[in-house]
Amino acid sequence: MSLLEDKNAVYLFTAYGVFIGGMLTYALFLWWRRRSLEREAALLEEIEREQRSTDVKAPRQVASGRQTN
Amino acid sequence: MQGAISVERSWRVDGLTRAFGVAALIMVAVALVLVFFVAPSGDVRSGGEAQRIFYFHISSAWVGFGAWLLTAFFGIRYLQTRDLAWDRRAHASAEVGVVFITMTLLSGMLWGRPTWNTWWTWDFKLTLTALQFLLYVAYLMLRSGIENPERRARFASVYGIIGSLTIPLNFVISRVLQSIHPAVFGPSVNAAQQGGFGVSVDRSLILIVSIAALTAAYLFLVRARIALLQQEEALNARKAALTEV
Repeated sequence: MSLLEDKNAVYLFTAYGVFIGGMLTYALFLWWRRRSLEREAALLEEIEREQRSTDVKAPRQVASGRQTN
Repeated sequence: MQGAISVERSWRVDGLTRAFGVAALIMVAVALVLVFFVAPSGDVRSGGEAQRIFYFHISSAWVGFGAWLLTAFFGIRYLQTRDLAWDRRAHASAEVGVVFITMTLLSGMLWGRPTWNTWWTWDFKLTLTALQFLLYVAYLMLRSGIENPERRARFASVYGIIGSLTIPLNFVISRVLQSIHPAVFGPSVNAAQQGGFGVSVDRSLILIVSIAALTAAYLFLVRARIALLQQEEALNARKAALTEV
């Protein structure tokens, strides 16, 4: 009798679906988490860059203000 | 520009993690071929064709309980060194362990239905395994409930060590007490009632390949999770620095 004809084959295939599906789902969760962290890091980098540029501009403005006075 | 390049590089999975990932893919594929096309069918008492579930069921239990033992070991190392890298490893190992214990419980139910004619029975071993699953989940909940990293690591380490004491008990319980759960290795007082679940040489080889495959998968997932936890911590530190300014 072949594997597919056995009345218990459905339990066998479901169980292996659980094994493969379980590991794949967790791997997908890691991939999704990594992507959201990457996005967060890019956003943070943008904010940091903006902050750096305002830090550089601010002393210049102060200096130019002194010259006009 | 340089900053962008360094961030890009830090996201890459390192060579060893990638090697474990590739090894896991190949070994799981080989194990599946062996389980479905080479392994002999089980007798009616052990579930007929459903008996083939046991190769990955035992392997996932092995990995799940091994992950818990490693969580305890990493906890001990944290308490010795106070280095948060050990705590990160413990966290990753526990999280991946939950995945494997969940697979063990579900596959056990899928084997129990055609073999015992029930999805679940309050047998000592089954109950203890369900309890261990809850212990794992509670460990992760405990971690998420404490904000201070040092305090969280200290509490989680102690919890992990105490929780791991249930693992030898799980191994012994179906061998010394009245239990319906088969004891695949070693002697058991219930061998006759458990359906003569002795493992032949060909079955042992397939089981070893399955255990190796799921161990490689565990190593890949744990290393990938550790890298992500590291990234999360680095990002949180940067966020904190930004809000301080």
